[in-house]
Amino acid sequence: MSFLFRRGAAQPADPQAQERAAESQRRIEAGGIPLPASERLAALAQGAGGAYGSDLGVAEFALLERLGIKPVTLVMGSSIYHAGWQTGYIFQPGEMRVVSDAYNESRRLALGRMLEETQTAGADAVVGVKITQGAHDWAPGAVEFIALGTAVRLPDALRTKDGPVLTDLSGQEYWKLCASGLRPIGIAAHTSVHYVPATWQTQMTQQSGMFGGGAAWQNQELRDFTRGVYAARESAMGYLSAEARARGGDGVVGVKLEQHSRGHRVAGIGYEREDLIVTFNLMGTVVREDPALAVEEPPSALSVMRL
Amino acid sequence: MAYDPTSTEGLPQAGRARLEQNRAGLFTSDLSVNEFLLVRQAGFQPLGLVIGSSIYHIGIQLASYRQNQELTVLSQAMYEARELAMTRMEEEAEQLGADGVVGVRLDIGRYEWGENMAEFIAVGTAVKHRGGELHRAPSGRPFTSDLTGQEFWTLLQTGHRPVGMVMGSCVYHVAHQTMRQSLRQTGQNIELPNFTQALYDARELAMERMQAEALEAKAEGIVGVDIHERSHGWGSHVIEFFAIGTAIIPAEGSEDHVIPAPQIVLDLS
Repeated sequence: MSFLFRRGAAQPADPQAQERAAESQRRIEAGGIPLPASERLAALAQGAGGAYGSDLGVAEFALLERLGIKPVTLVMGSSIYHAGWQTGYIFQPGEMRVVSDAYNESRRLALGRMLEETQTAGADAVVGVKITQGAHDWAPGAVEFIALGTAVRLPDALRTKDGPVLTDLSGQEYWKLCASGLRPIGIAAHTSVHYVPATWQTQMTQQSGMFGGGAAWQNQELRDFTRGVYAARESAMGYLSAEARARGGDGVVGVKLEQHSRGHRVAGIGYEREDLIVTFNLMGTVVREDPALAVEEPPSALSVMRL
Repeated sequence: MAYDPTSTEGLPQAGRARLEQNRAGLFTSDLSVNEFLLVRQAGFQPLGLVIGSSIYHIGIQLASYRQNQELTVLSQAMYEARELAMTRMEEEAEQLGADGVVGVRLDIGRYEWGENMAEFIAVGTAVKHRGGELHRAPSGRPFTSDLTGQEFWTLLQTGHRPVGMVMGSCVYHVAHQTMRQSLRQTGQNIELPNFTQALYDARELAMERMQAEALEAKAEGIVGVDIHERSHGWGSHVIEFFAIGTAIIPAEGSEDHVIPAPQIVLDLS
């Protein structure tokens, strides 16, 4: 079976549906969520529907019920983003800003939409946020981020006035942090893409090979690559700390550090070398000291033997 | 690489700025919430994520096809590169004024496009005792440990403290069998003594080196030892044995320490 596409719209859509589609498009362009999603969530906030969606297990659900944390609905946010061209001399050492910016902007849009969905649904926080990166063969060069989590209503004691809080923590972890006097205030994340050219030392080890000159035979640290990768990682971590500071946090817990690198072959007359393109992804939950939240008897460790 | 507490080698400008932020009171940590809270309950304050890394070119090794032997060039490369990464991580911890580093992960990244290259990374969370109790290793360096936050807490309950991660590595070439040997074994249940001996030798060498490190660190013992057996794409007859664990010593004044009895629970999940 195969598909056939017709030119133009499939059906002469009625003007109302067309108007709604245009409105959704406008909202997405403004960084918001489409109309149907916003209507469904708004209805949920007013108590319609009654049933909630959540990806919680039974044990977790039971515990959260006891702690007064109520699941509201699954919320998501996503954004497909086209990475532009790096202008100027593309492969100069340092951060490839256009590529980094595409990742960061796409993630920011996805998280922003998730926040809007949460607000619309009248929830106080999202727990267990998972951010995945998608790629589609029909959109080459595009970056996609999808954020998914469970929106919850918090007990009065844990609620803040600053709007919903996104975290990649489970409900239990959220409560445990609060009970120990630390308030989660949001997700901090950053991506940095750096270009690291091979200098003379590295080129010598790449070229001489088994039967060539001496460099490839020796164990040695590649100082240029080490330095370049260090710089990339530190710059990503610097952005993360700065973001945490800007949100008034005292620290970031559960930082996940992901690193990918690939080679980039550069060939010219009489030379050939393999440079390095390295990507760092960082994400963690920002927390702030809030002693007023701490319960009288904070959860304490107990050595147990499981049967 | 010699350890130098004032060294910020390899640390770029951005890294200095980040450590400055950490010193000013903002912490970052890759510990999970449970680990984080347990480390705090054990009396430690997390200071920041510390990292050491080294991208290393591994030299060329000559070996005989029919001989069991250690491949010294490769052994040395694997050991030295890890040492570089660990030392840089400790130096970063020193910059933060930490007592030690918990939850250390030591990873090796190999790239398909650079077969003679590997990146060695050590990552952990630098911590400092809130009460100012001595927790550094006898050598004066910050302690390191690859124990999880839970294990770290439990270890402290037993009246011990970690002094440092100790490791031993051995890359070994397992001799190929001759045609005659293979023919003799056809259809029989029989031990392959040269293979057994090769793996034995390699494992012993790695463990012996790890123990020598622990002795040097004046440790009482090593906990959580892991022996990894990997071939790192060097072909099926070349194997690296890598032994790593956390060396511990009795904490000061813990002679009459009693370990609390564990509670018995039935787990619902």
